[in-house]
Amino acid sequence: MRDVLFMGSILASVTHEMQNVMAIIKESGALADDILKLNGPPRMRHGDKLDNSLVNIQQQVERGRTLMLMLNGFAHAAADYPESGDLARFARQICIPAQRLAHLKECSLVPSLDGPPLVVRGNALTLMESAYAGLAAVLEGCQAGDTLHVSVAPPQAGEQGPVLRIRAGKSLAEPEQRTVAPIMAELGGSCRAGAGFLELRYVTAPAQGEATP
Amino acid sequence: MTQGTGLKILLIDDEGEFASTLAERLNLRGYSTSVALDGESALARIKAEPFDLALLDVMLPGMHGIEVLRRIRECRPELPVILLTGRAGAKDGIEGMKQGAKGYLTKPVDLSELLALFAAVHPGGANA
Repeated sequence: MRDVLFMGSILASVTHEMQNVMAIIKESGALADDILKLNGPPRMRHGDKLDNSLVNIQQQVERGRTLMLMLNGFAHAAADYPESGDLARFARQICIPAQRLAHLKECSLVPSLDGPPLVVRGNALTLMESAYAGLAAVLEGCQAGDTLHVSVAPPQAGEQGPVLRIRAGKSLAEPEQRTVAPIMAELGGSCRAGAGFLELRYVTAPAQGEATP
Repeated sequence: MTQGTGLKILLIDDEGEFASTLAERLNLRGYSTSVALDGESALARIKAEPFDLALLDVMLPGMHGIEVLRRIRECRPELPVILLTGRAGAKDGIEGMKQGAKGYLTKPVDLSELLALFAAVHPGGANA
């Protein structure tokens, strides 16, 4: 665990610096845009190309910002959430890098992860690892053009905890569980697969002050 | 372009390039900005000059931003402070709000969000 915490602290420090770098790029591009707009028409020759470049800078900074925030959250996760955390939040975080996995298979990923926190047992990294392994397992059976829907739901009566559902829109392949099953076992949870879907069942974390079994 | 009405703002950030560029953008909108690169010099300026608002980076070298905020609250309790955080998860921002900050934003800053916060803190000090 010590090495994980060390890696997290280094990663957090570097991502913080990267956010500063992007902040300077963003402000510099925006200042150039401000000055151009202040001059008003008539504009310089090829001014439209310059406008497009400035828009590109802003868009790419925003893209980098999203990735860097995810990476920064990932870096802090091990230290901030060693025993439990919000399943929906971790699933949202892991959907960002998983978008790339989906893109490589020419699929799309649609998260529906809003709602109240669903606090489950397990350290943040293992929880994120389980969600990522689940997404990768379902994607494996997908074809180009397929859409993955990712959602969470609170436990119903008699269930041990919330569930993370990953469902492919078209694929009927049953996802392989060999990667995700050991991770879920480590978390005290379970997984269930069927045609084009995978459900990961977690264990609700005891409320503060409640004894851990 | 949004025009501030001479609101005097102190930007406190050790990233000089970031602070000066943001200051230029705010100046173009009619604000009057100054930059301090660390907590000690920021506190000295706040004691000496009548700023209307401070924009404070949390991760400062030497004195941490939250400590700077606490000291601002001691010497100029009426001065609104908005925090800039670089950290995901908003922990620093929430801690700052507990210490009396009026709001927080994550870097890189969205200027429209920043101006909206200015307007919320100083309703007469900025207009769209």
